[in-house]
This record gives sequence, C-alpha cells and structure tokens, in this order.
Amino acid sequence: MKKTALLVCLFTLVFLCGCWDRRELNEVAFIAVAGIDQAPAEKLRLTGQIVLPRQLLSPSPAGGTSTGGKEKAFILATAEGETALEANRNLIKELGRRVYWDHNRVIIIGERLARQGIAPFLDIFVRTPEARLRTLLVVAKEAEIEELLAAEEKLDPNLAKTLENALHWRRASGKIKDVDLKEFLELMGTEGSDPVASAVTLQDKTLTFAGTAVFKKDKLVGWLSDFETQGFLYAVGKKPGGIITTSFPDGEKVVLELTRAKSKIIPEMKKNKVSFIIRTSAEGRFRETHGSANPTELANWSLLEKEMAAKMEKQIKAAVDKAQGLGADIFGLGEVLHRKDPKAWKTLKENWAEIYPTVEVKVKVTARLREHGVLRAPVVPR
Amino acid sequence: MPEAGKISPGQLLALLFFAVFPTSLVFLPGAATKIAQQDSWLTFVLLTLWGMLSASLQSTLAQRFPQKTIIQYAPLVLGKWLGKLAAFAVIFFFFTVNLFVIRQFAEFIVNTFMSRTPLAVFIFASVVLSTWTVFLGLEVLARANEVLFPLTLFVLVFIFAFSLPDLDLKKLLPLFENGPLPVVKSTYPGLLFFSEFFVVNLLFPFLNQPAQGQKTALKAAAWVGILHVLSTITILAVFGPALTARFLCPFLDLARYISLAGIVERQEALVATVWVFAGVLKVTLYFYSTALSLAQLLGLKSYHPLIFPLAAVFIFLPLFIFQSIPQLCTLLEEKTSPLLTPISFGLPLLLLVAAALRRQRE
Repeated sequence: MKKTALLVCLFTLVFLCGCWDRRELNEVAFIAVAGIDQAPAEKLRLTGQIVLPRQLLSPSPAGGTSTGGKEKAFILATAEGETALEANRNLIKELGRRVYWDHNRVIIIGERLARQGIAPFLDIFVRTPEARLRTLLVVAKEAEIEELLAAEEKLDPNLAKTLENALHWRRASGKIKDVDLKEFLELMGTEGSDPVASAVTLQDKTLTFAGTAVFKKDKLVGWLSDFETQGFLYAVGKKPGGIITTSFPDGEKVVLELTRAKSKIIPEMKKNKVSFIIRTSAEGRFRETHGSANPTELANWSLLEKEMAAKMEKQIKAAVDKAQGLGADIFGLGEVLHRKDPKAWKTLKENWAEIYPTVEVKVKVTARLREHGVLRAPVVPR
Repeated sequence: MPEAGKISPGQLLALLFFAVFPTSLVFLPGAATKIAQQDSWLTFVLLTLWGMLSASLQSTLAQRFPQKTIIQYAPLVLGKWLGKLAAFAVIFFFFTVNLFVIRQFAEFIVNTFMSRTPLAVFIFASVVLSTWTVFLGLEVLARANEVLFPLTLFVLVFIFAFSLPDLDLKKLLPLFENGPLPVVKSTYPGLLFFSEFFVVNLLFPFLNQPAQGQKTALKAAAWVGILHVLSTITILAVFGPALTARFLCPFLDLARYISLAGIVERQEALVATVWVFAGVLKVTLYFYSTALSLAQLLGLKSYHPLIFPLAAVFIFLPLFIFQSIPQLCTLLEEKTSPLLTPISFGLPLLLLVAAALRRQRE
C-alpha cells in the first residue's frame, strides 16, 4: 500500500513540473518601445527597441567612461507586414525569438499612419492579453520612427525610461500631456470628444517632446504648439503645472509658476444655440523677476495675479481656437454638454461636427499668487 | 440522510456568497454596460433588490421545512409525481449551472492569462479538485469557503482603493439618458445569477442554527449586490461606458490598470488568484449540490457512488456542448435566464404558495 502511494506521488511529479504557458527569458525578446508606421506597398513597418537584459543588469548601464562608447541596453529590430500582428510575427524571422509585449511601455505612431487613422491598428494592442492599457501613446512629428528609436539616449538606458521620466516631471515642465492607450481609446470611442497624444520629434539626434498631436477621432489632423499645449493642459489636464512668463506693465519680465489649477467647462443653452465657458481658478508662486519693481507690494502683487490670469486665458483661448480650427473636440465640449444636458445633446449631436468649430467658447481665469520664495525684494544694482 | 455534516451561519454566508459571486462579477458588468451604458451600476442596484427578494423567498420556504432539503419536501407539497418532477428540475438546475460555471472558469483563464494552454487542462483540474472536496463532504467545503471569503473581500477592497487615483465620477453622468428602460432591460442576464441563492434550499437542513438562516441568506445577497454596485461604479468611473462595454471582463482590466507610483502595478495576479479559488469553490458547490440532490432523489444512503460518474460528465460535457466564447456569452446573455430562472425562482415560489395553501410546515 505504502509503495503504491509512493509510486503515485512520484508519478504525479511528472505533471507538476511547470506551467504550460511558461516563457523562459532566453526564448523570448522583450520589447520596450514599439513604433509603427506605414511602409511602401500598403504595408506596416514595426520597429521595436528590444531590451538586452544583460546590459540592464550591468552595474551602471548608462554611466561609465568606456572608451569604445557605451554599450546600448537594447537593439533595434524592424519588420514589415500587412498588419501590425504580421509584422510582429515577422520579427521572429529576424530575431529568432518571439517578441513579448508585457513590458512594452510606449507605442510611437508614425505621422503618415496617424494621418490615415490608427483605430484599425490599435485593436491588436488592446485585444492581446499581454498588452497593457497603461502603455503610453506618442506620435512622431516630422521624424521617421527608425531615427527616433535610434536617437541618442542621454541619461537613461532606454527610450521608454526617458519618456516615462519626462512624464514623471510633467507638472514641472507643464508642456507634456501624458496619454495612455486607455485614455486615447476612451476619448476616441466617446461621442462628443476627440483624443490627443504627446508629440515627439528629433532635435540634434535626440528625441524630445514637441507639443501635442491633435486627433479627430482616430485621424491626426494637426498639432498644438508648446504654448497651446500649456493652455490645453490648464483647462483639461490632470494637476497642471509649469511656468508662466509675463511682465509688469512697464515691461519688466517676471516668471510665475502655476501650482494648482481647477477647471470647469460649463455649457449654456440659449435658443438652441450652445456656448461654453471654461472657468479656471489657478494658484501660483512668484518665481523670478528681471526688474526692480517689488512684487511683494500688495498693489504689484494683485497686478501680477491679473497678469497671470490674462496670460493663462490667452493660452487656453489659443488652444481652443486651434482645436476648433482643426475641427477636433479635444476639450470634450460635446461630452460636457452630453453629461449636463442630454436632451440638448441629442438634438445637436448629429451635426456636432459642423456646430463645434463655430461654437462660442469663453475663457475666464482667476489666479491667486501665494508665495514668492525667500527674497522680499528683488536684487538690483544701485 | 447522505450528508451528516453541520455548518454554521458564517459558513452558510460564505457558501451563498461564492454560489453567485465569482462568475457574475466577471461576466455581468460588461454585459450590463452594453445595454445600460453609464447607468449600468443602477442595474446592479436593481439586481441587489432582486437578489434580496430571491434570498428571502428561498429562506422563507426553507424555514418551513428546516429538517429537509428541497428534494425531500417537494413531494410532500406537490404530491409524489409532481414532486419528483420538481426534484428532477432542481437537479437539472444544479447540473446545468455547473456546466456553465466550469466552462466560464476555464475560458476566463485561457482568454486572459494562459492562451497557449488547452481549455481541457483547466476543466480537468477544476473538476478533479472539486471531486476530492465533494468526496470529503459539506463541512470541508464550508470551511474552505469560510477561509477564502475574507481574502476575497480583501482583494476587492485593495483593487477599489488603488483605483481611486484614476476615478472620475463625472463619467457616470448623465443619469437615465434614455429613460429607465435600458436599465431594467440590462438586468436580464443577471436575473439567473442573482437567484442562484437557490442553493440555500439544499443547504438549510445542515445549518446548526436554523433560526439564523434567513438573516444569513439576506446578508449574503446584500454582500454580493453591494460589491457588484461598487465594482461597476469603479469600472465606469475609470474607463467610461464606451470602453467598459467593449471589454470581455472589465473587472480584470480594472486590476490591470492599477498603477501607483510605478510600484503597485499589474494587480491582475490578485484577480487571477481569487478567480481560481472562487471559481473552484463555485464549481464544487454545484457539483456537491448535484450529487446530493441526485442521491436523495434516488434514495441512496450516500452520494459517494455518484461522484465519479458525475465528475466524468462534468469534464466532458463542458468541453463539447460549448463551441466558443461568443457562443457561451450569447447563451449567458440571452438563454440561461429564461431557461433556469423559472426553476431557481419560480419553483420555490410555487412550492411556498402551495405549502401555505395546504398549511404545511414542519
């Protein structure tokens, strides 16, 4: 009896030795950044930064002063196919491994493809269980994907890390909108709103953020500059920040920093005509002056608050005008109306594409300055 | 009686919780949002009421015959032949529900986590595991439920808490955009799930404090309902109705989407863990219910001889009667409620009315 039991136990071991879906590190390739763009002959080109785990393990991947130039922590792999999935599987031919998407942090969309519409290509990135909705979505502006992915990395061992770190500091920068797959798909799939994505470009062989890509549903239709991106973020961004350069009436330059802003978009229906007010209340900090006027004098202080509000209004207005010009409802005005007044929305939604560009949008900003650093008066020569 | 064990009210609560919860949380939020859009959390408010109604009906009936299972008292109320027919319907209910649960359990794992492993592996594993538990009897199953219930609650609370940074409650607006009708309609697939408290009719005689029975059943219905409402609110507030309606299993996506300072990420493993044990618990409960009720109908002294044949059926039928996941989902959305709710809700109602008219009580 005991012997039989032992045999059964041993026999069981054969079936307990592992997992059917196991993937060993040396059988797969981890992709960290994926770029897709159009290739000739109606094909898609998929370019990926494939992580070299060996390099990531070395003590200082980005540091060191080796004479032969530092070793990269990734390789680039490119494949073409009629669809993203086919291109992905074609990578096997080149790499000898299957690409594993669990650790993909960023998807870069080529400009050509983005203008054509990206919905058909996003399906696979959401449908496959490996993929994550947190994956960042960026658009290559005036740059080829291959060049972007081969760009010189400055501090971090790979591009994904650089992009993620930049997003970590997006409040300080104030000019970066972080958009992940979930946000893009959600806005794309909702009537009365259009998505955006961060734009990246190549500058002196380095990848850099360059404003915001504006989509009309899934088609790229234009760009917001840094100036407009800031305005856009004031109105709809999560925890906006960034610096605001303005001046005293006599022209002396001052720099303020936005520390908090809360915005509300309010629709108003008047005789079947809809208009919107964007109300923003902001808080800021006095950061820098180039002149001799003392900001801590209360008259000056409130003057600066007005200047800050005026500058922010200007920026938000610029973003609104650009978006309306492009016919892309990136502020989600339609959806705001839908939530507030579903009946009115029902009558307008059929023609929203025509109504939206002409809709009146007012911008009202109130700003409060709270701190001014450890100087009471500016340092000036006498 | 083929079962000599006793369970406590706490254990009954856990048993009834897992009798509904696992498969419904995976399946219903997406299905309801497809119809009710941003109002789908209200669907679950309605379903909670339906669940409480169902639980109170079931336990009222069970309390009339505290020493007997539904298989035993149905002939007393309806007469010999009608009673046998009712008992047969009850067995059909447990059996059919279990076929669905087993297939759902396996499909979920294959579609979300282990796409290269054959479905049969998970069907086989879950049925073998539950066979062993059924063999050991109700007390063992009840204790397993009792232990895993708080763990499940913990995981849910964890996921709710870490979803808070991504919450935007504005996405729940506007309320009743197309009137209340879509909300009512979207409860349809849930009618069956939330009447699965039906098993209380089988478990009641084993309760060591029968006086607590009704309260426990209502508590279980409230737990299940409230957790569905909270889950659906969280899902909608994170993803919005447009995306939620497109997901196979929105709750899983919710867990996957969690990201806190880059440290707490990808909590889908937690969902998978809960799903695996909760799924097996549900399979086991319905396996046990089928075996026990069949044994009682046949007048056997023990249900043990039925276990292995049933296990074989539970392994093979789910593999062959369902062809694909869209077929499974369509069946669950459109067919199971009209087929099985008459048994899980209609039959007890009939029995209760008949017993009241004939003034039967034990």
